[in-house]
Amino acid sequence: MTATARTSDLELFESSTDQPSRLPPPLRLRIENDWGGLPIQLYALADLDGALEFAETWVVLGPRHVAVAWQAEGDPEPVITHFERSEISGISSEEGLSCRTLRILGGDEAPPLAVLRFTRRQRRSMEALAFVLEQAQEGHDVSLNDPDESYVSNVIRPIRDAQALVVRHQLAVVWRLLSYLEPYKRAVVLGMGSAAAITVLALVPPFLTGYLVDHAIGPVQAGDADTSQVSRIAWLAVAGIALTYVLRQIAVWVRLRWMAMLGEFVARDLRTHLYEHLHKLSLSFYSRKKTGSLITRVSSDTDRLWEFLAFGVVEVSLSLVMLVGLGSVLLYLDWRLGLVMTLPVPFLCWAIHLHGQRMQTLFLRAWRKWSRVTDVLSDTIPGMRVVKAFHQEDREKERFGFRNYDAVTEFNRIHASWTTFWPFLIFGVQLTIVSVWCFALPRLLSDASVLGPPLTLGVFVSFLLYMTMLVQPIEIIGQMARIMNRATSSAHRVFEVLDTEPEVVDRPDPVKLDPVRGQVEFKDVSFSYDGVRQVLKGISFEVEAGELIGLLGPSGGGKTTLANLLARFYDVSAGAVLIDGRDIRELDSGDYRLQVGMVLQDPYLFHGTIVENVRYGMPDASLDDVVQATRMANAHDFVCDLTHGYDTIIGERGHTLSGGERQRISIARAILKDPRILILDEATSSVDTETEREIQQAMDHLVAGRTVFAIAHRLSTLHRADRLFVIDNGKLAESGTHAELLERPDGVYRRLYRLQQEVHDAA
Amino acid sequence: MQPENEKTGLQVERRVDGRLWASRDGEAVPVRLVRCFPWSSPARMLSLRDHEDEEVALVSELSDLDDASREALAEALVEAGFVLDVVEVLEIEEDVEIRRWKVRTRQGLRSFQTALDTWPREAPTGGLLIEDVAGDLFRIPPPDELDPKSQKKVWPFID
Repeated sequence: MTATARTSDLELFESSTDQPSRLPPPLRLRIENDWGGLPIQLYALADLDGALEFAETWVVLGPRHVAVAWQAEGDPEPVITHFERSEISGISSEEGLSCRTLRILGGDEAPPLAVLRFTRRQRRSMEALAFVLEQAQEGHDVSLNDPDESYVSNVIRPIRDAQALVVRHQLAVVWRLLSYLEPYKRAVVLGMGSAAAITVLALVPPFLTGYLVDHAIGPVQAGDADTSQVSRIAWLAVAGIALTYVLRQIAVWVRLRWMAMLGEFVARDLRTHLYEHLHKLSLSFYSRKKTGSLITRVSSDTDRLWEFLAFGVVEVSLSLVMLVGLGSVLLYLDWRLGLVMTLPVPFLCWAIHLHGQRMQTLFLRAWRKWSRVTDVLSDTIPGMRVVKAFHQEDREKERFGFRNYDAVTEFNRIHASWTTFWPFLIFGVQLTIVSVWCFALPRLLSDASVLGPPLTLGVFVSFLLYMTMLVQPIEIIGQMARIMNRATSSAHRVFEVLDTEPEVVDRPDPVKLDPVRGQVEFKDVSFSYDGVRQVLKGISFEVEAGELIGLLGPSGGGKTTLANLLARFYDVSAGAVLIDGRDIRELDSGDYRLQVGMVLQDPYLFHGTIVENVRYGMPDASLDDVVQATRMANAHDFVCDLTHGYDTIIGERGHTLSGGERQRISIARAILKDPRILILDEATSSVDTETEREIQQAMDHLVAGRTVFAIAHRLSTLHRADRLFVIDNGKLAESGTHAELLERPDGVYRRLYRLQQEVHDAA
Repeated sequence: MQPENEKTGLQVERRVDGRLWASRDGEAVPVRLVRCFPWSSPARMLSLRDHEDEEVALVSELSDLDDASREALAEALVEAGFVLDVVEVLEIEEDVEIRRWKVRTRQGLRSFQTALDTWPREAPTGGLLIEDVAGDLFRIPPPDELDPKSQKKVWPFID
């Protein structure tokens, strides 16, 4: 973990919880002194006491001891009790709704060594501690990280998983986002320059209009000048106004065009960067994040950022410029009237901001009600057969109708709010205009008044025109916080992916095995997905090139994890996986995976034609090879029966294939790739017996001449295996041929085999 | 050990090792308590399960047990049903993808986070129930039992 990430974890911890962010240093010192200087390895906080009140009880683990420290009432120092780890006979746990109790048990008929009650927030750190103790009882050592880091990361893990937060400061995110404009400096300068020109030019026509009134129309109508004297000035002013409009529209065109295109370019860069990075990330990342959320990040979030960069940034900054510009011009023309007009502006902005907050509350309520409407839809539409079978249409219609009505009530509340607010706001602006009239009229009608010196008609006309320009920037500035929040939320989600480092990384000078022979060795391999719970525990075996190994054992025993390590989707936590005598971590993972094939329980086919799917790993394969591979996979006949043959579109929105057909296409895909090492993960577990027979025949073609690891629940599918490995609880429990394993009187394989025989005989 | 209950033949006790033990026909095993209806019938249909998650006994009613067993189970029920009771809502703020809550519970101050699309649901015992990202449950009392400021803050979440 990097220093920056650690700081960020700590920041998140401190801003999200009310509990201490580490074991208090004096307590740590006392415990380590009591242990004769032995270091603290791991600790956790039990935040409830026996009366289910909040408490601060620390349970601390050392190499030989466990300490439990709590604050007793009236005692200035925490009370610490210690016991040896060797005294522990077991761990028991009871789980309630929000309280979990962990008991560290001593000997038979002895009181527990410790009783720890805690809320679910502490669950991960407590589980980690319990796991280490349980493993120690089984004789396994668990390698541990820094105890402070483990504690912090375990407590905030649920928040980290739920939230894509890169940095806490919004401006830092906006700044980073703006850095994506770097390659498009010219477009930025043109776009922003044009936008600035639009703003400045907008101020010119009212000014010229006022000038026209005061220096041409007014004097002529008052008889102070004749038409011939002022007509040149008048026409020049009109030409100036016309020129301003032309220039302004050119600037509008440049701005819209360049900024819109700029936004698209930046969104394209972000999408490409994001998608390329997604391909670098390890499978563990995909197991933590929902597919929908990742798709949204690449599509909607980048789109929202496009909108923000292209228009949001410009609109907000130019609205600020416009308001400052308007204020300056008004104060320059007549500071008294200028103040009358500009003083209400901050109040109007504030009113819009408050209205925005009110709307947010209303929207929150409406979204909640709307989600209840969509819940009914997502419940009943996929389950329509069940609704009909149980004749519950009326009940479902009533449920939907009630929620729909409820949601509409909330949406109408929103409409009631904004339709009331905006007329009031406009009325506020109009009141300002009336105030301007009230202040201006006495000065217009007399040579001098108490409210100031005389006001020319032209200046007043300019004021009236400037007043109409106030509303839009006020509205945008009032919504600035919302615009920023929306954009930075999207930016956090995008940057979170970009900032995630792949866990499987090739060395700078990776080795290419060309070709891979297929000899595989697991040397004391241990693996943990979360850094604590070991899924594989010191597994060792050697497999010769061309051997077919059957992997079997209870679900969750570690079979698929073993296959994942073999494909190098993850790196081992301890030990090594050797391919042809080379550590798999030394190999070029891309080149290696080209020589590894996988057939999974739920074969994934892409949207496209059958031929494209078969060719997925070998895009340049000839049609002869495609047909040959498909024939070997027992798929050629059913493909020929399809109207469009190999050109049939399959996958989402395409032709629907049965599970067995999809499986055979995936086998054809694997055969065509001709891998040296093949992994079959429960490839026949979800099909009927007849289909299984056909797939089995296809697989017999597939396995010939390569090293194969076949995971299967049905032992009958492993009849051709050279050896069988029984994986149980992360360990290689048994290995040998079918006959050898059957000879073991208490063997796991023998028991599984008997059970399946009994089921088969009963059927 | 108490005399066996005549109706169920089941005895439950909290032993010196701190664990809950269920015994029947002279055979005792440590068990954990699972409530089948934690909200609608919290004190009925109590499943006692051993370390392999096998059901040792299903207690339909506490009254089916003798006094000592009933007392032991009632005590265990308190822990099993524990949720954090909110007495005041101090702050609800939206952050990136989560909502941050700061509340005063009967046990003290607590900050917690919920996913933006996690809405409180009605608690069968009244009020609202909301689950934070860690899985802790918070019970918010019916609005009229809250102070006006808290009421205003939870208003978007209540019907």
